[in-house]
Amino acid sequence: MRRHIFLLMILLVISSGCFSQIEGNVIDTSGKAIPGALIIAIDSVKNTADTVKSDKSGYFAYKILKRGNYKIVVIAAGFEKNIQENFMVTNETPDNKATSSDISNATWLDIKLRRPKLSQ
Amino acid sequence: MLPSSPSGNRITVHFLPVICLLLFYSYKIPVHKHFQNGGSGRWTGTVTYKESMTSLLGPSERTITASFANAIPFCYIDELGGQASDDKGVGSHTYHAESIIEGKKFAITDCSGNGQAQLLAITFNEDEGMYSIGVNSNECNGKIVSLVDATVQDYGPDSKGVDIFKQTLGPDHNVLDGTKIEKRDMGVGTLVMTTTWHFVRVQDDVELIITPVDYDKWLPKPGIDEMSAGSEISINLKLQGKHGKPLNQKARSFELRLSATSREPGITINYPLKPMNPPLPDLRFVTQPNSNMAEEFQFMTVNCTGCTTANVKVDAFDGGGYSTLTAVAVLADGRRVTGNLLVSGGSAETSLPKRNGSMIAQSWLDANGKPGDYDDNETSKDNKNNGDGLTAYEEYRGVMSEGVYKRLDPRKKELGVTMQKTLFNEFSEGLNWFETASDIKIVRFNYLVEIGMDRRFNRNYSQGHSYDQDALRLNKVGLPNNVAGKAFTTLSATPDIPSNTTIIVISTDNIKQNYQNWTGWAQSNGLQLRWTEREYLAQTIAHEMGHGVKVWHHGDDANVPQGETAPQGGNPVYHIFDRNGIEIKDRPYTIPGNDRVCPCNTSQAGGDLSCVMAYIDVCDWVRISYADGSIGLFQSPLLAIGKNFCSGKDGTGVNAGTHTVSGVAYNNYFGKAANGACIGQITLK
Repeated sequence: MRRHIFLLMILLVISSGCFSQIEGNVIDTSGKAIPGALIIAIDSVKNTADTVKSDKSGYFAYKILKRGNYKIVVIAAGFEKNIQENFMVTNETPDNKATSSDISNATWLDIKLRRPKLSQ
Repeated sequence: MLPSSPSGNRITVHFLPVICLLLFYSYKIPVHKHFQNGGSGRWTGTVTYKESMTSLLGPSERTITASFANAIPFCYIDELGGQASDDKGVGSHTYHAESIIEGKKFAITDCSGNGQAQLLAITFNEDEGMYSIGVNSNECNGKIVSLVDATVQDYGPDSKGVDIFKQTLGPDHNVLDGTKIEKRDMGVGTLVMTTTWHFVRVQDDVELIITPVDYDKWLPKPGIDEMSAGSEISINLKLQGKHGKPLNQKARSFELRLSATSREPGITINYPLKPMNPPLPDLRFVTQPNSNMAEEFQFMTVNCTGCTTANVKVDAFDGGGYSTLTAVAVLADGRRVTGNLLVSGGSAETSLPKRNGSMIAQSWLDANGKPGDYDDNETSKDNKNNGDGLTAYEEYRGVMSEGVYKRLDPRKKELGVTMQKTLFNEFSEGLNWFETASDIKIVRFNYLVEIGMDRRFNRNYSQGHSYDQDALRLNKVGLPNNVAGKAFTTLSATPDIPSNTTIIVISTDNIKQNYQNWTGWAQSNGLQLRWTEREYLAQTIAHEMGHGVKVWHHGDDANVPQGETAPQGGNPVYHIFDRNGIEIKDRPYTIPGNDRVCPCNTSQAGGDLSCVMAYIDVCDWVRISYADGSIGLFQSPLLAIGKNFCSGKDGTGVNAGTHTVSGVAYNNYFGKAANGACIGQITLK
């Protein structure tokens, strides 16, 4: 029962139009995909974080992310940390009318990571 | 009673009504032209004016003489390139008045002076055969002496306008002379005004001809950046005798001015991304020896000693730059001769480039269907959504595309596409497919160099703009398994116009992998794919770009059922055919659970299969529910990739035609497209 109430709440929140999606890629400076990178979206107001991981092609997706202002922190082994301040998630609620998987109203985000500079 | 007090500002008082009346009188001058008509030119002549009044309050008398030599009426000085002193002449002015009350003289006013008179205007109304002249007298100063107490007051300065209105033009328009006498009853007496005038127009013996080289064809073209000059026009100036007579004058300088010059930001509508602010003039004189430059290269003096010709150059810094050139030769005797374009009596104003009331060069307009500056009416094949979001002036100004300056086409829809420079080669075939299929030309931009992150196509403008158009951004990325490409939009997950399509992403890795999977599957089934990996990439790009210009799939297969079993016993009855058209009669017969079974007439595989928007790989089977209660299942043959945008909903290829079951005709295979007519859906703004 408790689980049903929880699902119902999620559905209500989704239908209230407060959520959006982010999809994107994590690549290195040569354009090569970085699998396994952690993408952390920190809600700048509430200071809460939501984390996803890039797949083998560097692709990642936040399927449900509350609309608002985020700090996006991206971490991958062997690369410098990448921080994007004030990333606005503004698109409308994910649209169930999508005709196929090749059209989306998510926000696309390209993240490029650099190798650390060698110390002198 | 004392005579009326002189105004301290009589010139203004006289000047305004005279000019206003003369302008009104010459109301037939077209608005777009300057105040210049048949009375234009230099005049030499004299006006005398005498007024006398006999009155119970005492007599008065005023005499004015104004003589002019080689004078330009004030109203033409700007147009003829004259100097402020060109309307001045010499004059004398006397005034005498006696004040009498009850037969007793009690005051005498005397005023006199010699000085500068002004020729305000000489205008012709040739339709009515009339002319008018306006002159301002010089000032006089004097005293008012009281005969009662012998006190003396200053009188003046006093000046008076002499107006000669609506006189009949004689056969020789270069000679204006006459006398008019007016009597006016002033109540206490009669004022008699006698005006005599004689003016002769100075027959200029010299003219200056302005000849821009290649004038009919020259177009402004920017350099590589805001500080670099682009195309250059050479302008020849030549003094010559009028009416074929020998030239007996020489110039000591030539003065050239560019006025009303455009100042569009940047050098094209897209470049640079951050233009100078404020912008500099788009056309500028080129510095040369013995020249002085001023006003941001808009005014130039070329000095010479006894020359009769000169050459100047004007550089363009914007694809849409324009200006108006005027030139004056300053003769050795001080006279100023305004240049005429190309021929004797030609326009004093030279539009650069050659234009006719437009911001756009006439030659370009002529070559491109003569659009209006703000027109955005391009059409494309089988499509009624006219316009590409760029006005004709923006198309004319042009773009920097892949490092090269290009003008756009006001008769052809154009779509900006931006991506990293390195991707253009890889994605080129897909872009070409889209161009050919859509009848829309693609303009390629290097991402973050020629188009910014905001994707704005026509970012640089101060005029000639009507719509904020964006370019489509393409990128090569990693995507989840099997997803070859994807369009991202801002409003909803449905196809949208370029401004609302944030990015189109293509996964070449997935395309490669998908193709290998298809090839392996085909081989294992003894089949051969009907497309290559290269075509698959090109089709994916063209297809996703279709979404970026608001084209939908042929149907909606978001929730396609997978697998189906025809039961033993024939209830319901199934008619099952394999991809070769051979009926399968085995029962039960099960279509595997990962095979997608699509409906007829509503699926993404329906309609014209030559269309780039038709899916050829999403439906393994088509299912038709017949009216007699039986069910048809047809295995999809391997289909070829589409390259066009379809113009209708009807099926082609295997989708064409019908088959009959129990006397009822049904569309073959996937039948019609639910949406279809893709080319008509294309919308750029």
